[in-house]
Amino acid sequence: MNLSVDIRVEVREFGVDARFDATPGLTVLVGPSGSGKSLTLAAVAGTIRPTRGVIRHGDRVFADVGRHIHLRSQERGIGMVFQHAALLDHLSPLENVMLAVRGGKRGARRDTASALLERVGAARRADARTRTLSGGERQRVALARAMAGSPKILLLDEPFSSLDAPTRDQMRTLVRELVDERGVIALLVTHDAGDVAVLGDRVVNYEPGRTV
Amino acid sequence: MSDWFPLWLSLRVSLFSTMTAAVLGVTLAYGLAKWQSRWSGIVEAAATLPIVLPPTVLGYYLLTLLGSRSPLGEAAESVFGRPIVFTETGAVVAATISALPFVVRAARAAISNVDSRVEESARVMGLPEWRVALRVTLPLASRGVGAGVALGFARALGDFGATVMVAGNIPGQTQTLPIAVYDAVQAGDEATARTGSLLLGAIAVAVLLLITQVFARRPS
Repeated sequence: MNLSVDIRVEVREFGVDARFDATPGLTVLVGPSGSGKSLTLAAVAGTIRPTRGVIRHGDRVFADVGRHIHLRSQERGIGMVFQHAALLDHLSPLENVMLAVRGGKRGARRDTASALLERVGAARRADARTRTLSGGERQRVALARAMAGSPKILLLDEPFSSLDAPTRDQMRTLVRELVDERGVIALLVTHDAGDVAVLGDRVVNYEPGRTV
Repeated sequence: MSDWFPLWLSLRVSLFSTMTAAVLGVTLAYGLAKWQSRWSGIVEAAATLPIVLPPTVLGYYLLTLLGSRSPLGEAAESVFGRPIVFTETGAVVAATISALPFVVRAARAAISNVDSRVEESARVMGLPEWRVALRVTLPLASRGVGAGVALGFARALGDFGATVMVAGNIPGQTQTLPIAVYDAVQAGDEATARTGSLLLGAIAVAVLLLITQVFARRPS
Protein backbone atom coordinates (compact mmCIF):
# COMPACT_ATOMS: atom_id res chain seq x y z
CA MET A 1 0.00 0.00 0.00
CA ASN A 2 1.38 3.35 -1.02
CA LEU A 3 1.11 6.73 0.59
CA SER A 4 0.28 9.32 -2.01
CA VAL A 5 0.61 13.00 -1.23
CA ASP A 6 -0.50 15.78 -3.56
CA ILE A 7 -1.30 18.85 -1.52
CA ARG A 8 -0.79 22.52 -0.86
CA VAL A 9 -0.32 23.57 2.75
CA GLU A 10 -0.37 27.19 3.86
CA VAL A 11 0.55 28.61 7.24
CA ARG A 12 0.36 32.40 7.45
CA GLU A 13 2.40 33.81 4.54
CA PHE A 14 4.20 30.56 3.82
CA GLY A 15 2.92 27.86 1.51
CA VAL A 16 4.28 24.59 0.16
CA ASP A 17 3.19 22.41 -2.75
CA ALA A 18 4.15 18.82 -2.08
CA ARG A 19 3.67 15.94 -4.47
CA PHE A 20 5.16 12.46 -4.07
CA ASP A 21 4.37 8.78 -3.55
CA ALA A 22 5.98 6.67 -0.83
CA THR A 23 6.09 2.88 -0.67
CA PRO A 24 6.99 0.68 2.32
CA GLY A 25 10.59 1.46 3.26
CA LEU A 26 12.37 4.76 3.75
CA THR A 27 11.63 7.90 1.80
CA VAL A 28 13.80 10.87 2.67
CA LEU A 29 12.41 14.39 2.28
CA VAL A 30 15.41 16.64 1.88
CA GLY A 31 15.89 20.35 1.30
CA PRO A 32 16.92 23.58 2.98
CA SER A 33 15.34 24.74 6.25
CA GLY A 34 12.02 26.42 5.69
CA SER A 35 11.25 24.65 2.43
CA GLY A 36 8.10 23.07 3.88
CA LYS A 37 9.21 19.52 4.70
CA SER A 38 7.93 19.54 8.27
CA LEU A 39 4.67 21.15 7.15
CA THR A 40 4.17 18.25 4.77
CA LEU A 41 4.69 15.80 7.64
CA ALA A 42 2.22 17.72 9.82
CA ALA A 43 -0.37 17.48 7.05
CA VAL A 44 0.20 13.72 6.73
CA ALA A 45 -0.07 13.41 10.53
CA GLY A 46 -3.30 15.40 10.44
CA THR A 47 -2.21 18.14 12.82
CA ILE A 48 -2.73 20.76 10.12
CA ARG A 49 -5.14 20.80 7.20
CA PRO A 50 -3.97 21.19 3.63
CA THR A 51 -5.60 24.01 1.68
CA ARG A 52 -5.74 21.98 -1.51
CA GLY A 53 -5.29 18.39 -2.64
CA VAL A 54 -5.46 14.82 -1.42
CA ILE A 55 -3.51 12.55 0.93
CA ARG A 56 -4.27 8.88 0.47
CA HIS A 57 -2.91 5.71 2.05
CA GLY A 58 -3.93 2.77 -0.11
CA ASP A 59 -7.67 3.18 -0.47
CA ARG A 60 -8.01 5.19 2.73
CA VAL A 61 -8.36 8.91 2.17
CA PHE A 62 -6.61 10.86 4.97
CA ALA A 63 -7.52 14.23 3.56
CA ASP A 64 -9.35 15.46 0.50
CA VAL A 65 -9.94 19.17 0.55
CA GLY A 66 -12.35 19.10 -2.42
CA ARG A 67 -14.58 16.55 -0.68
CA HIS A 68 -14.14 18.12 2.80
CA ILE A 69 -12.55 14.97 4.17
CA HIS A 70 -10.11 15.31 7.07
CA LEU A 71 -9.44 12.15 9.02
CA ARG A 72 -8.48 12.84 12.63
CA SER A 73 -4.84 12.18 13.60
CA GLN A 74 -5.97 9.35 15.89
CA GLU A 75 -7.53 7.44 12.99
CA ARG A 76 -4.60 7.57 10.60
CA GLY A 77 -2.44 4.81 12.12
CA ILE A 78 0.70 6.92 12.33
CA GLY A 79 3.78 6.92 14.54
CA MET A 80 5.88 10.05 14.79
CA VAL A 81 9.29 11.08 16.13
CA PHE A 82 10.25 14.73 16.47
CA GLN A 83 13.61 16.47 16.48
CA HIS A 84 13.35 17.08 20.20
CA ALA A 85 11.64 13.91 21.37
CA ALA A 86 8.31 15.04 22.75
CA LEU A 87 8.52 12.58 25.64
CA LEU A 88 6.36 13.24 28.68
CA ASP A 89 8.71 13.92 31.57
CA HIS A 90 6.05 13.14 34.18
CA LEU A 91 5.92 9.54 32.95
CA SER A 92 8.73 6.96 32.95
CA PRO A 93 10.12 5.85 29.57
CA LEU A 94 8.13 2.62 29.89
CA GLU A 95 4.90 4.55 30.64
CA ASN A 96 5.58 6.83 27.68
CA VAL A 97 5.67 3.83 25.39
CA MET A 98 2.69 2.14 27.10
CA LEU A 99 0.61 5.23 26.47
CA ALA A 100 0.87 4.65 22.73
CA VAL A 101 0.09 0.91 22.78
CA ARG A 102 -3.45 0.53 21.51
CA GLY A 103 -6.02 -1.67 23.23
CA GLY A 104 -5.39 -4.63 25.51
CA LYS A 105 -5.08 -4.94 29.28
CA ARG A 106 -2.47 -3.01 31.23
CA GLY A 107 -0.26 -6.08 31.67
CA ALA A 108 -0.29 -6.81 27.95
CA ARG A 109 0.46 -3.19 27.11
CA ARG A 110 3.35 -3.26 29.56
CA ASP A 111 4.76 -6.38 27.88
CA THR A 112 4.47 -4.83 24.44
CA ALA A 113 6.15 -1.63 25.64
CA SER A 114 8.94 -3.54 27.39
CA ALA A 115 9.62 -5.60 24.28
CA LEU A 116 9.83 -2.43 22.19
CA LEU A 117 12.23 -0.77 24.62
CA GLU A 118 14.32 -3.93 24.51
CA ARG A 119 14.28 -3.78 20.71
CA VAL A 120 15.52 -0.19 20.57
CA GLY A 121 18.18 -0.86 23.22
CA ALA A 122 16.64 1.26 25.98
CA ALA A 123 15.29 -1.49 28.26
CA ARG A 124 17.90 -0.67 30.89
CA ARG A 125 16.36 2.80 31.29
CA ALA A 126 12.71 1.70 31.22
CA ASP A 127 11.96 2.92 34.74
CA ALA A 128 14.42 5.81 34.90
CA ARG A 129 13.30 9.40 35.37
CA THR A 130 12.65 10.51 31.81
CA ARG A 131 14.26 13.87 32.49
CA THR A 132 17.59 12.16 33.14
CA LEU A 133 17.78 10.40 29.74
CA SER A 134 20.52 11.42 27.30
CA GLY A 135 19.59 12.78 23.86
CA GLY A 136 20.21 9.41 22.22
CA GLU A 137 18.20 7.54 24.86
CA ARG A 138 15.31 9.95 24.45
CA GLN A 139 15.24 9.34 20.70
CA ARG A 140 15.35 5.57 21.22
CA VAL A 141 12.38 5.77 23.59
CA ALA A 142 10.60 8.12 21.17
CA LEU A 143 11.17 5.61 18.38
CA ALA A 144 9.80 2.77 20.55
CA ARG A 145 6.77 4.93 21.35
CA ALA A 146 6.22 5.76 17.69
CA MET A 147 6.16 2.03 16.87
CA ALA A 148 3.96 1.13 19.85
CA GLY A 149 0.65 1.68 18.10
CA SER A 150 1.73 -0.70 15.28
CA PRO A 151 1.58 2.14 12.76
CA LYS A 152 1.56 1.63 9.03
CA ILE A 153 3.28 4.97 8.55
CA LEU A 154 6.23 6.31 10.50
CA LEU A 155 7.02 10.03 10.35
CA LEU A 156 10.49 11.14 11.44
CA ASP A 157 11.03 14.89 11.69
CA GLU A 158 14.79 15.48 11.88
CA PRO A 159 15.13 12.82 14.59
CA PHE A 160 18.93 12.72 14.51
CA SER A 161 19.81 16.40 14.25
CA SER A 162 20.44 16.97 17.97
CA LEU A 163 22.59 13.84 18.42
CA ASP A 164 26.36 13.45 18.33
CA ALA A 165 27.90 11.62 15.38
CA PRO A 166 28.35 8.11 16.88
CA THR A 167 24.83 8.12 18.36
CA ARG A 168 23.46 9.36 15.05
CA ASP A 169 25.07 6.40 13.23
CA GLN A 170 23.54 3.94 15.71
CA MET A 171 20.12 5.55 15.39
CA ARG A 172 20.28 5.46 11.59
CA THR A 173 20.99 1.73 11.72
CA LEU A 174 18.18 1.20 14.21
CA VAL A 175 15.67 3.14 12.12
CA ARG A 176 16.61 1.23 8.98
CA GLU A 177 16.25 -2.14 10.79
CA LEU A 178 12.90 -1.24 12.34
CA VAL A 179 11.46 0.06 9.09
CA ASP A 180 12.48 -3.10 7.25
CA GLU A 181 11.30 -5.40 10.06
CA ARG A 182 7.87 -3.87 10.34
CA GLY A 183 7.30 -3.04 6.70
CA VAL A 184 6.17 0.50 7.42
CA ILE A 185 6.19 3.48 5.10
CA ALA A 186 8.70 5.84 6.70
CA LEU A 187 9.05 9.51 5.78
CA LEU A 188 12.24 11.05 7.11
CA VAL A 189 12.66 14.82 7.05
CA THR A 190 16.27 16.00 7.07
CA HIS A 191 18.68 18.58 5.74
CA ASP A 192 21.67 16.39 6.57
CA ALA A 193 23.45 14.94 3.52
CA GLY A 194 24.62 12.06 5.73
CA ASP A 195 21.05 10.91 6.30
CA VAL A 196 20.41 10.98 2.57
CA ALA A 197 23.56 8.97 1.86
CA VAL A 198 22.76 6.27 4.42
CA LEU A 199 18.97 6.14 4.39
CA GLY A 200 17.91 7.74 1.14
CA ASP A 201 16.64 4.73 -0.79
CA ARG A 202 14.14 7.12 -2.27
CA VAL A 203 14.56 10.86 -2.07
CA VAL A 204 12.06 13.66 -2.44
CA ASN A 205 13.83 16.97 -3.00
CA TYR A 206 12.39 20.22 -1.72
CA GLU A 207 13.20 23.73 -2.80
CA PRO A 208 11.60 26.62 -0.94
CA GLY A 209 7.85 26.17 -1.25
CA ARG A 210 7.65 23.02 -3.35
CA THR A 211 8.87 19.53 -4.14
CA VAL A 212 10.88 19.07 -7.32
CA MET B 1 -10.39 29.42 72.47
CA SER B 2 -12.81 27.13 74.30
CA ASP B 3 -14.91 26.00 71.35
CA TRP B 4 -13.10 24.40 68.39
CA PHE B 5 -16.23 23.89 66.31
CA PRO B 6 -15.62 26.92 64.03
CA LEU B 7 -12.14 25.66 63.12
CA TRP B 8 -13.34 22.16 62.19
CA LEU B 9 -16.33 23.57 60.33
CA SER B 10 -14.08 25.96 58.41
CA LEU B 11 -11.65 23.20 57.47
CA ARG B 12 -14.49 20.88 56.42
CA VAL B 13 -16.27 23.55 54.40
CA SER B 14 -13.12 24.79 52.69
CA LEU B 15 -11.98 21.25 51.88
CA PHE B 16 -15.31 20.27 50.28
CA SER B 17 -15.65 23.57 48.46
CA THR B 18 -12.06 23.44 47.20
CA MET B 19 -12.58 19.95 45.81
CA THR B 20 -15.81 21.03 44.11
CA ALA B 21 -14.22 24.22 42.78
CA ALA B 22 -11.22 22.24 41.54
CA VAL B 23 -13.34 19.80 39.52
CA LEU B 24 -15.69 22.49 38.17
CA GLY B 25 -12.94 25.05 37.67
CA VAL B 26 -10.49 22.79 35.86
CA THR B 27 -13.25 21.47 33.57
CA LEU B 28 -14.36 25.01 32.79
CA ALA B 29 -10.77 26.18 32.30
CA TYR B 30 -10.07 23.29 29.94
CA GLY B 31 -13.10 24.19 27.86
CA LEU B 32 -12.12 27.87 27.80
CA ALA B 33 -8.53 27.08 26.82
CA LYS B 34 -9.43 24.63 24.05
CA TRP B 35 -12.62 25.93 22.44
CA GLN B 36 -12.77 29.55 21.43
CA SER B 37 -16.25 30.80 20.68
CA ARG B 38 -18.10 34.06 21.05
CA TRP B 39 -19.40 32.76 24.38
CA SER B 40 -15.89 32.20 25.80
CA GLY B 41 -15.50 35.83 26.85
CA ILE B 42 -18.88 35.88 28.56
CA VAL B 43 -18.28 32.58 30.37
CA GLU B 44 -14.84 33.71 31.52
CA ALA B 45 -16.20 37.05 32.74
CA ALA B 46 -18.97 35.27 34.64
CA ALA B 47 -16.43 32.92 36.22
CA THR B 48 -14.32 35.92 37.28
CA LEU B 49 -17.24 37.88 38.71
CA PRO B 50 -16.93 36.46 42.26
CA ILE B 51 -13.50 38.14 42.59
CA VAL B 52 -14.85 41.50 41.51
CA LEU B 53 -18.15 41.54 43.36
CA PRO B 54 -18.19 42.60 47.00
CA PRO B 55 -18.55 39.32 48.93
CA THR B 56 -21.78 40.39 50.59
CA VAL B 57 -23.28 41.22 47.20
CA LEU B 58 -22.19 37.83 45.88
CA GLY B 59 -23.77 36.30 48.97
CA TYR B 60 -26.96 38.26 48.39
CA TYR B 61 -27.25 36.95 44.82
CA LEU B 62 -26.62 33.39 45.98
CA LEU B 63 -29.20 33.81 48.73
CA THR B 64 -31.72 35.04 46.18
CA LEU B 65 -30.86 32.21 43.81
CA LEU B 66 -30.89 29.40 46.37
CA GLY B 67 -33.39 30.66 48.96
CA SER B 68 -36.42 28.52 49.79
CA ARG B 69 -38.70 30.72 47.70
CA SER B 70 -36.57 30.47 44.55
CA PRO B 71 -37.22 27.67 41.99
CA LEU B 72 -33.68 26.34 42.46
CA GLY B 73 -33.93 26.42 46.25
CA GLU B 74 -37.32 24.70 46.14
CA ALA B 75 -36.01 21.98 43.84
CA ALA B 76 -32.97 21.38 46.07
CA GLU B 77 -35.19 21.23 49.15
CA SER B 78 -37.50 18.65 47.58
CA VAL B 79 -34.51 16.52 46.53
CA PHE B 80 -32.42 16.73 49.72
CA GLY B 81 -35.28 17.21 52.15
CA ARG B 82 -33.80 20.36 53.66
CA PRO B 83 -32.95 23.85 52.51
CA ILE B 84 -29.54 24.95 51.26
CA VAL B 85 -29.48 28.37 52.84
CA PHE B 86 -28.53 28.74 56.51
CA THR B 87 -26.95 25.27 56.54
CA GLU B 88 -23.44 23.90 56.18
CA THR B 89 -24.27 23.09 52.53
CA GLY B 90 -24.95 26.80 52.01
CA ALA B 91 -21.53 27.61 53.41
CA VAL B 92 -19.97 25.08 51.00
CA VAL B 93 -21.81 26.64 48.05
CA ALA B 94 -20.72 30.16 49.02
CA ALA B 95 -17.10 29.10 49.50
CA THR B 96 -17.10 27.11 46.25
CA ILE B 97 -18.29 30.10 44.23
CA SER B 98 -15.73 32.33 45.99
CA ALA B 99 -12.89 29.91 45.23
CA LEU B 100 -13.92 29.13 41.65
CA PRO B 101 -12.40 32.17 39.86
CA PHE B 102 -8.95 31.51 41.34
CA VAL B 103 -8.98 27.95 40.03
CA VAL B 104 -10.40 28.91 36.63
CA ARG B 105 -7.96 31.74 35.96
CA ALA B 106 -4.82 29.86 37.04
CA ALA B 107 -5.84 26.61 35.35
CA ARG B 108 -6.82 28.32 32.13
CA ALA B 109 -3.45 30.07 31.89
CA ALA B 110 -1.57 26.86 32.72
CA ILE B 111 -3.52 24.76 30.22
CA SER B 112 -3.04 27.37 27.46
CA ASN B 113 0.71 27.32 28.14
CA VAL B 114 1.09 23.59 27.52
CA ASP B 115 3.12 23.08 24.33
CA SER B 116 0.50 22.20 21.71
CA ARG B 117 3.05 20.08 19.83
CA VAL B 118 3.19 17.67 22.76
CA GLU B 119 -0.59 17.36 22.68
CA GLU B 120 -0.55 16.90 18.93
CA SER B 121 2.04 14.15 19.16
CA ALA B 122 -0.22 12.38 21.67
CA ARG B 123 -3.11 12.60 19.20
CA VAL B 124 -0.90 11.24 16.42
CA MET B 125 -0.06 8.31 18.75
CA GLY B 126 -3.77 7.56 18.70
CA LEU B 127 -4.81 8.87 22.12
CA PRO B 128 -8.47 9.94 22.24
CA GLU B 129 -9.09 13.53 23.36
CA TRP B 130 -10.06 12.63 26.92
CA ARG B 131 -6.81 10.71 27.40
CA VAL B 132 -4.81 13.57 25.89
CA ALA B 133 -6.45 15.81 28.50
CA LEU B 134 -5.93 13.46 31.47
CA ARG B 135 -2.53 11.97 30.64
CA VAL B 136 -0.80 14.84 28.83
CA THR B 137 -2.34 18.30 29.19
CA LEU B 138 -3.41 18.30 32.84
CA PRO B 139 -0.22 16.70 34.23
CA LEU B 140 1.83 19.26 32.28
CA ALA B 141 -0.38 22.05 33.63
CA SER B 142 -0.41 20.64 37.16
CA ARG B 143 1.77 23.32 38.76
CA GLY B 144 -0.43 26.17 37.62
CA VAL B 145 -3.57 24.24 38.44
CA GLY B 146 -2.17 23.37 41.88
CA ALA B 147 -1.35 27.01 42.59
CA GLY B 148 -4.88 28.02 41.61
CA VAL B 149 -6.42 25.33 43.81
CA ALA B 150 -4.23 26.38 46.75
CA LEU B 151 -5.30 30.02 46.31
CA GLY B 152 -8.91 28.86 46.03
CA PHE B 153 -8.54 26.96 49.30
CA ALA B 154 -7.18 30.04 51.03
CA ARG B 155 -10.06 32.10 49.65
CA ALA B 156 -12.64 29.49 50.69
CA LEU B 157 -11.17 29.27 54.19
CA GLY B 158 -11.15 33.02 54.62
CA ASP B 159 -14.54 33.81 53.13
CA PHE B 160 -16.70 35.94 55.38
CA GLY B 161 -19.18 38.03 53.40
CA ALA B 162 -20.69 35.47 51.06
CA THR B 163 -20.77 32.76 53.73
CA VAL B 164 -22.48 34.92 56.34
CA MET B 165 -25.14 35.91 53.81
CA VAL B 166 -25.89 32.39 52.56
CA ALA B 167 -25.24 30.26 55.65
CA GLY B 168 -25.81 32.82 58.38
CA ASN B 169 -24.04 32.97 61.71
CA ILE B 170 -25.45 30.14 63.76
CA PRO B 171 -22.98 29.08 66.49
CA GLY B 172 -22.40 25.33 66.42
CA GLN B 173 -24.01 25.02 63.00
CA THR B 174 -22.83 27.50 60.38
CA GLN B 175 -20.42 29.73 62.27
CA THR B 176 -17.08 29.37 60.44
CA LEU B 177 -13.81 30.61 61.93
CA PRO B 178 -13.72 34.04 60.20
CA ILE B 179 -17.29 34.65 61.40
CA ALA B 180 -16.39 33.45 64.91
CA VAL B 181 -13.52 35.96 64.97
CA TYR B 182 -15.92 38.76 64.02
CA ASP B 183 -18.39 37.60 66.69
CA ALA B 184 -15.65 37.42 69.32
CA VAL B 185 -14.53 40.97 68.57
CA GLN B 186 -18.11 42.20 68.81
CA ALA B 187 -18.50 40.44 72.16
CA GLY B 188 -15.17 41.75 73.46
CA ASP B 189 -13.75 38.21 73.68
CA GLU B 190 -10.13 39.13 72.91
CA ALA B 191 -8.68 35.66 73.51
CA THR B 192 -10.94 33.91 70.99
CA ALA B 193 -10.45 36.65 68.40
CA ARG B 194 -6.67 36.43 68.81
CA THR B 195 -6.52 32.61 68.60
CA GLY B 196 -8.85 32.48 65.59
CA SER B 197 -6.90 35.17 63.78
CA LEU B 198 -3.58 33.48 64.50
CA LEU B 199 -4.89 30.16 63.17
CA LEU B 200 -6.28 31.72 60.01
CA GLY B 201 -3.10 33.73 59.51
CA ALA B 202 -0.93 30.64 59.95
CA ILE B 203 -2.94 28.64 57.43
CA ALA B 204 -2.79 31.53 54.94
CA VAL B 205 1.00 31.77 55.28
CA ALA B 206 1.29 27.99 54.88
CA VAL B 207 -0.73 28.13 51.65
CA LEU B 208 1.43 30.99 50.37
CA LEU B 209 4.59 29.00 51.13
CA LEU B 210 3.11 26.00 49.36
CA ILE B 211 2.43 28.11 46.26
CA THR B 212 5.80 29.82 46.14
CA GLN B 213 7.93 26.83 47.14
CA VAL B 214 6.17 23.94 45.45
CA PHE B 215 3.94 25.07 42.61
CA ALA B 216 5.83 28.11 41.36
CA ARG B 217 9.23 26.45 41.33
CA ARG B 218 10.61 25.48 37.95
CA PRO B 219 11.12 21.75 37.43
CA SER B 220 14.77 20.92 37.97
